Amino acid sequence: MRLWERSLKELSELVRKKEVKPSEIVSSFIDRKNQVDSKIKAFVSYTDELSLEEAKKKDEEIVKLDNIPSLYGMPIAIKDNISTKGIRTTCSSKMLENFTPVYDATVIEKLKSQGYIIFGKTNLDEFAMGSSTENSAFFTTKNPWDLERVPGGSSGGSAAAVASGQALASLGSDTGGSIRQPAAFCGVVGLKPTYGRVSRYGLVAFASSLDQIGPITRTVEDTAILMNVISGKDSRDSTSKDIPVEDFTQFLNRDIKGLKIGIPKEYFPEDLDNHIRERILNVVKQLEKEGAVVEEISLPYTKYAIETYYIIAPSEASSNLARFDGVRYGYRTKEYSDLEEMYSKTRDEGFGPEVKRRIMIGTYVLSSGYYDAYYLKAQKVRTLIYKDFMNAFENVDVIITPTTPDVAFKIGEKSSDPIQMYLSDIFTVSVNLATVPAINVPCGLKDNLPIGLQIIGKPFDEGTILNVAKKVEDLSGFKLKFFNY
Amino acid sequence: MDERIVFTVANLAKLKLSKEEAKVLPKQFMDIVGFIENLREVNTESIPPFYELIVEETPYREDVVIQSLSNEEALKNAPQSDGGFFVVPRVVG
Repeated sequence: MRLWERSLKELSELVRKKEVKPSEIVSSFIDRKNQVDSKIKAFVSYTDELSLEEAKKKDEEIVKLDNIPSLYGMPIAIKDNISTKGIRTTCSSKMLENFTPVYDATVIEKLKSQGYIIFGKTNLDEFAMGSSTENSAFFTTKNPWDLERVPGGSSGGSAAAVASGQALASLGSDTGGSIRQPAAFCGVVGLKPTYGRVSRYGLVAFASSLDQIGPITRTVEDTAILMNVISGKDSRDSTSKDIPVEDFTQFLNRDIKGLKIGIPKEYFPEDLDNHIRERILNVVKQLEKEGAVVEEISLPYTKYAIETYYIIAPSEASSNLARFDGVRYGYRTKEYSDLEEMYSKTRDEGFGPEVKRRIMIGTYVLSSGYYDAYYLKAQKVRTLIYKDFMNAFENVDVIITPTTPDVAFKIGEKSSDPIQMYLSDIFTVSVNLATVPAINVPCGLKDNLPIGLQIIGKPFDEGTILNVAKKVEDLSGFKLKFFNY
Repeated sequence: MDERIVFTVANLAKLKLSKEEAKVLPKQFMDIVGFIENLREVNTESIPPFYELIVEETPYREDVVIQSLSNEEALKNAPQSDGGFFVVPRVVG
């Protein structure tokens, strides 16, 4: 088995035992990337030289180390909306095409403190707004299972890099499904932590009450290892919570006897693809055989999740993206006669169509005369959606649903119809609105494309969903395949 | 409400629409607005907005000096700067 085919857990053990050097690992991933990325196009920026240089430093340093940190020498790709000091961070937007941050996001500082090696910045839908990477201002990433299909989005580059063997693991961000949906489409594991579990400091803000950073990996155990590193209170993000971070790997392989699983009927509608339904329910049956107790539940306000999301997220986006005015950083238009024209031309030329659509929707629903009818209304429905989940969690420990209504769609299939694109997130957005954690774990194939199963947990109970995800991983028999193109 | 609202909103959001966008955006915008109007059918009487559910006390921290960006770092990504300042078009006559 080549080094790039192994899991983070395996490689970190090899490094700890000093059987493999960090530079050998990084070289192996660079070779794989050079072989396939011209087809996949997962990365906006490569960091080959820096990654190798860091690895060689670690080759020497490790000899003197007694305690080797958990990510020592591990090459990890970072979504290009997470601030990396000295490394271009574009958000896949013309607006930030030449932007080089002067500070690291908190999650990057934490990865560094555990000895990780940065391995490229990955493509996304512009400012994380989209479900396919087709909204990237630069190019569309391809699904490693079928190059004619989308990898999902917005963290499509992060998911495709991991699924195609180009990165050992990656970080993504999830505002309405942007980690879980691409993880489902690419056949990898992706976790959206509870809101407040991971610091958002240094994540370019899209919708601040929904955004969370999380890991995308090949195995559930690797996600647990990364969660151990990135979780925790950060004084620079006042919404991060001071809740103890337990060792998430300790939750794995626990007995699930008596664990209560809720199956929400609204997530298995009549028109759901039959293959997806059967696959998910089959896995649930296997969990039942292991001793879990399954019951049907109802999350009635899920029906309104997409509408609610497409009021709240654009509202916050219109406010957050007001900072891109061509003054302090980012793109500035070349010709203008006054300040007003500089602003509007800068923003017209710097932003792509989806970003503009959302800024305009946000501006509209927040404008005087419409605020109560849209924004306030959506905030109230968000309360109802949140309460749905809290009521359900009084009786069950986890909730299982499909991650997506169907497998990866074709490039171009939904790009001309925004609402069709929005509906592809129908099973993921309510989780962000309710602030709860959820994980995608691949559980089978339909027409040789991965099917994703979503496990939703109680607030700050990532440990339990990781444990159930590990069971699903073991029972479903799904194996990530690496292809040559 | 008609499609002219789109241009008012674009103006409020400081977005100058290209000719091509001015053709497609109004319809898409109206479709999305029509779609989110589904929320009208939800009875939200006496339901508090979500942000009231999650209010917390203002988080305090120790009043200690911490390192902030240097002038040079703050200006590093500026499209135009001069003598330690951001440069913008003249705004006073």
